[in-house]
Amino acid sequence: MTILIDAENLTRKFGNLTAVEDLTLHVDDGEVFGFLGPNGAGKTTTIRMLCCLISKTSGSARIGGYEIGNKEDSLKIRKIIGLVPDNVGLSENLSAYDNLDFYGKIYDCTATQRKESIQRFLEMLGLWEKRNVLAGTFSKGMKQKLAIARALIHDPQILFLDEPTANLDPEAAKTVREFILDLKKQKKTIFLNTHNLDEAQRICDKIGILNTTLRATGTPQELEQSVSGRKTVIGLEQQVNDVVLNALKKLSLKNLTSEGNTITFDAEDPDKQNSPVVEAIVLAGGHVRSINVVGSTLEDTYLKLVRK
Amino acid sequence: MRLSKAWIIAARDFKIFRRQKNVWYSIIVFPVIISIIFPVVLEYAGRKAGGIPAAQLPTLLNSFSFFLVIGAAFVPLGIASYSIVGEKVEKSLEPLLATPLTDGEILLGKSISAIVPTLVAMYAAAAVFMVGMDEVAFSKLGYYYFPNWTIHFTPDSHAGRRCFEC
Repeated sequence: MTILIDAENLTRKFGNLTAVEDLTLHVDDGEVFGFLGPNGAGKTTTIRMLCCLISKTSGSARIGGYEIGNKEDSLKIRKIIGLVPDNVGLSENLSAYDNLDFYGKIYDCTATQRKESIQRFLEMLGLWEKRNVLAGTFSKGMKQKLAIARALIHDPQILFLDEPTANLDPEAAKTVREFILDLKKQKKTIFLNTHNLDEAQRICDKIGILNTTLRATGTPQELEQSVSGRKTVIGLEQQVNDVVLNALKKLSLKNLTSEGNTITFDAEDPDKQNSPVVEAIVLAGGHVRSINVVGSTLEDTYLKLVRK
Repeated sequence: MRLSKAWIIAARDFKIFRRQKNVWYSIIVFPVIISIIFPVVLEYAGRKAGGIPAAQLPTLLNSFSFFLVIGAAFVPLGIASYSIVGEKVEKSLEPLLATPLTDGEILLGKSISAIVPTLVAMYAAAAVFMVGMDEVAFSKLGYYYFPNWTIHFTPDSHAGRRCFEC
């Protein structure tokens, strides 16, 4: 798979303040990469560097094979990306249609392409009826949707979204989130900055947790598993007896304990681990009532990593 | 630098200006003052006893014409200021900078959007001004002073005083 975003030790300093330090990450073609981090972690700075809006202090990054920081490559990078900044930045005295048409012209889309794309996106986002209404009169959610349509008007290879659902009401956030999921189905490469862990977990293929430095990166499941503390809790219909315990001891489960009719052990890889465990219990004459994995979630991982 | 890209920015700014009263005021007020007020002042001064001597009229007309040059420098200030401040207020510069436009193309587009309305306004003002001045000055000079391609914009600091003294 082609790597579309490839950053190596990317660093940005503002005077004495280091906003981003030694950031190394790779985003594959068609992947949705979620960038999580607290306020001031450097997420927006990273997007700005990758979109060639600000210069890097050191390190390197390639977007679609083009080097950021190289003046000629910067224009090529901007051709293949779409950006939705945290403040939507629409021309409020222009209609929704004119806003999109303006950007279509900048990206050299033909009149037919522009017309088709604008209609398609505005219909997808439920804004077609309001195409001639000034963008300044739109609600926040509508503006956000229009900004996403603007970033997609030239069919970019990579879409950068900087907190697209921040400050939106639940319904508007849901619409935007569903639109992003639609884009994911179309195999669009998306770099998503967000505070919303649930959103990241639902949308992203891979997540990076940033707090000036990149603390961890991986799939949501990998990140959850990276923090110790998750336990698998199995409830039995009857009291746990020695036969069942001995059967489980043969499976080399870590920190295996039992109390009453509950068995607990470290959840290292529940998907692979649970099936033989249940089989062993059943063969030992036990009856399984419930299985739960409790403890570490993406939120636990996030909090643990950003507090390091 | 691609002029076509600069034109796209300028065309968008023109659309925005159409809805901005402040921009309209800055385009219209100064040219209207020049093109209407000066001929009225000249007419008023001419009616006073003796009027303005014919020999001094060309100097006076040249001096008044100089305000058209000042206008051409003054009017785009308002437009250019709004153009930049508007982007700042709407925070629309960041997505624009993320497009494959060079800084030069953006600046050229902004310059065109400030210059074109100014030129239109000032040429229109100059036409009205020249017609008005010719109407007022013809009886004294016996010929139409404008259009005058050999005019030299030498500001005469005493022209206004002489206008009202004579």
